[in-house]
Amino acid sequence: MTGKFLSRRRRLFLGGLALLLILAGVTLPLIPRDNSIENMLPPGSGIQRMLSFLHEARFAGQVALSFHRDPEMPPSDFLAAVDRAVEKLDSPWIEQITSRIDLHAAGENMAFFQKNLPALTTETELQTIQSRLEPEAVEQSLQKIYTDLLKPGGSIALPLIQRDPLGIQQDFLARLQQLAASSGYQIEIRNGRLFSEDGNHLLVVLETSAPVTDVSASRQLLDAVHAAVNDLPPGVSVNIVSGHRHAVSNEEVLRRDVRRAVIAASIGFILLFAGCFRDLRAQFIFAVPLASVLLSLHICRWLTGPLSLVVLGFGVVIVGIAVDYGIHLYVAIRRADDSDAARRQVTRPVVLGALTTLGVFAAFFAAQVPGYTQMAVFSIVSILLSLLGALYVLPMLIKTNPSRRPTTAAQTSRPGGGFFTLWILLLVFLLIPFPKLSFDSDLRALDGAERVVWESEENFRAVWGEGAESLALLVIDDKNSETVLNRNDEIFDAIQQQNDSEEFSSFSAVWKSRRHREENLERWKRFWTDERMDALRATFAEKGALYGFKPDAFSPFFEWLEQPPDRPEKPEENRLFDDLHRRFSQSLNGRHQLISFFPDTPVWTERVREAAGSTGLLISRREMDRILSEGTVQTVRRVALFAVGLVVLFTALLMRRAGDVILALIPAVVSVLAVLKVLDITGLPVNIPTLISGIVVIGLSIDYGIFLVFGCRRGTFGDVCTAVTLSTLTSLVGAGVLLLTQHPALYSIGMTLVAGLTAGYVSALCAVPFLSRFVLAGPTEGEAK
Amino acid sequence: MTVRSLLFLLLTIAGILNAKTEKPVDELMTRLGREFAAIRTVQARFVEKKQIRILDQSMELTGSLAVEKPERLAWRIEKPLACTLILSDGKVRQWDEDSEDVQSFSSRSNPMFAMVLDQMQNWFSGNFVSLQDDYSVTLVSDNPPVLDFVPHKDSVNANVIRRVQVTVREDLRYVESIRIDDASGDSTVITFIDTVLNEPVPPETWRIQRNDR
Repeated sequence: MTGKFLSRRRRLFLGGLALLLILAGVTLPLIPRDNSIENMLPPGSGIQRMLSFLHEARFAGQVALSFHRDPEMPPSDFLAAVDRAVEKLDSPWIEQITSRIDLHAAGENMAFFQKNLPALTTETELQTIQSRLEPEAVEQSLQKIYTDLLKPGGSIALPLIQRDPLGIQQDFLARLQQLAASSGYQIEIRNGRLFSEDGNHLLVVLETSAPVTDVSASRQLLDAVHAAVNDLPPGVSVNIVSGHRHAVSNEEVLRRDVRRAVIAASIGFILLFAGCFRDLRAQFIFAVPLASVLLSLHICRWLTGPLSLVVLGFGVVIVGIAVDYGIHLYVAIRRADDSDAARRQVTRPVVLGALTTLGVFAAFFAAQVPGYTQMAVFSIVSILLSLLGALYVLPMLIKTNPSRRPTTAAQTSRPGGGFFTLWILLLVFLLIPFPKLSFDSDLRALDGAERVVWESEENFRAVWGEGAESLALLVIDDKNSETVLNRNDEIFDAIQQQNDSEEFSSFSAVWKSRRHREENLERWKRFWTDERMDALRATFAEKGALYGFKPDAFSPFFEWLEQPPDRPEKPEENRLFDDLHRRFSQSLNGRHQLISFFPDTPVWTERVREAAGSTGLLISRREMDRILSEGTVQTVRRVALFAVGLVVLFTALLMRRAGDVILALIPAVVSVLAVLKVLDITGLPVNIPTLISGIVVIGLSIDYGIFLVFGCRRGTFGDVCTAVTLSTLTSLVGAGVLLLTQHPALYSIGMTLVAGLTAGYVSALCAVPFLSRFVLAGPTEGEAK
Repeated sequence: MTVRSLLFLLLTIAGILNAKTEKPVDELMTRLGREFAAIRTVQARFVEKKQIRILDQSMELTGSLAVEKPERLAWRIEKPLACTLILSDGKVRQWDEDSEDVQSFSSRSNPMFAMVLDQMQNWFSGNFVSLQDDYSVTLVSDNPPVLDFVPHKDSVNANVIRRVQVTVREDLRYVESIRIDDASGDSTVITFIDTVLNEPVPPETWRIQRNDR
């Protein structure tokens, strides 16, 4: 009825549809894309929170410029060239440029901390100070000072020695310096510049506000950086390292890949249909699913938000799958006298075929992961539109040609034992040795950035070390900055009670919450009584004389102790404080966060987890790998169970015989084995895209089994064989073009589908007909005829 | 004499004076650059006198020095307290008889210490030409040649060093003594004796030895 209704308004309908498609095509580039992988991750595991933090963290937006000097180039010319490039760095995204460290200013900035030491000294640290006031300890300190003065440059530190002969301030300053230098990079400061160990590389770090997930902002930022460094003189080169390069490169690779895949698939389908049908109108078979995918992308974006990478990758695959419905319609209509009757005749098997495929994709809803849901929505909408297009639009576009009659069953005999033997050999190859694979939880494997980006980072690490990548993070977060500082202090104090605590880099080492500052200050005042001060003066006079120190040698120290300590507040202008604060803290969406860094080892993770209790977000790459691995495998297992369950249920309802169902499942089982074997041989990672593609392979291969079992049972093996072959070829074109892509996720999808579908097809054609002779009871419908 | 002719006379005198003071420094620096470039190794004994403001009396130290270009340096104090500092392969090892402890660390790990090492290498290997980037040089006397190095105001060295006075041997082949006046008012005078140039330095020089201990 719908068909007749549309047929009567054919021109109007087709014209409207064409307009809609033009509009969809023109606005396609405007559909927002989501290159992040978070929406493909298992829910409730905390891993999404960890990744979101890593993307939003301020340090994620840093850009490192590593300038290299050719040995021939004079160092002064090199420095001048770098300075010129730094001066030219101009972008609204750049918030701060660190190209040199003013050691003199840093010394002045340190004075703030020295002055406020009483409020920053904890009870434990005060106990350490007490032990240094003993006469023996004082003598040891003075002896060391005397020895240090003998050494070259010994008197340079004299002002500091006079102010702090017992190393009370020195301990704090060492902590401050350690914190300032705990970037994880191997940097040497020469004349205030950040040099590599070999002295041939100079580091400039840009703090930026460009989010690494924002491709447009990343591009603008990188354009500004490239403009500043593009006319470096010969002998100077620069290596730019930042997350923004990944964002831009991924986008470029993806754009190239999708364009390449669409062009290759179009050529493949056009040639395939031209070769098979020798009819120009046969190209509409391909046009229908292509148009459906185009519309689905918009519908999916409207229903589920920005489109993920995997969805885009599956677009071409869906065209390959959904084109089957058009093929069935085309063949039926071309060979019929009445196109409407032919359409009605094939509607039922075509709809049933689509149902099994829909069952596979519907199973993705079971994962309850946004990315999987999006893929399910996209695939289901695409398949439904393709189905509707094939049933109701395609018949309007093709003409009947009754002279082309179908082949009969008698014209095509079933393959014999030879093909079955070949299939057994294939099975042996797939099973021995059995592929050993493990889930690859490294999310970087899904990063499609170009080789040059990865090489840049490798070169950078070779010069500057691993940086913060080798460290785990603890993030304390609250609306109130004082609450965050308080909690951070408590965790730091708990960690300090243990060994190797200096490996835990926390802002608490140099700055405390107001409450703790006040508590420390009161304790300090109580500690330094007049009696204690007098006793210390006497000890210094006695022991100092042994080494020839003048009586007033350490008067700056006693003056400092006598000074009434202030209640310290956050300094107004202190570059050192600001730099540290900037590195260890950030504000996001009205919340304050303090970040501490520590080695990413099981011992440290456990230690920090114990100290932090239920507060704080612990981010460890090692932990993330574990959670991701376990979570994804669980999710995919659930989806696979649902998919296989639904497909087997549909198959059982349709076939109703256990033997038929088992036969129909053979291609699916072998296709999974083939996927595993190919992944093992090629060394491709078993990751989220391959697991999802594996499930799709199961769904499609079962279809081959079902069709072949029906074909054998009904004696229409020849027709079914042709249809399955054409169907496989179209699916292989859709999946195979992904092997031309560079993006690892798209390539993995392509490889999994090509391997699985090929094995499923070979099994369906070689094994099912042969085994059906033994399994299918009684003569087949064809043989009976 | 008119004002104009007085001005002319003053300018002429200034020009003559400039020519007299600048030209010899340049000439001497060029010659020293040439002579000192030939130095591959230095081995010498030294006497070091330190005037430090927090000590009642000045300190007198004796010891030995070894330099091997491009960047090896061994500084051994024997009296009044044995103390060794060795810079080799980018690493510094320090030892003193009080602590009996050998400390080992990267030569660049502490910016201030790195600066001291850089300065020691430059002064003791006679690399005066490269020092001209950071210091203004004047010739104090011709015979023996005495050079006065004052750090540029914007130089990091200016925070620590007020001036360095270098007395060169008459044969211009090496340094006879160095006087370092710290910005704080302390001073150090190092006099080199028994200097041996370009002889192979024994390998054990670059190790903390049993004798040191």
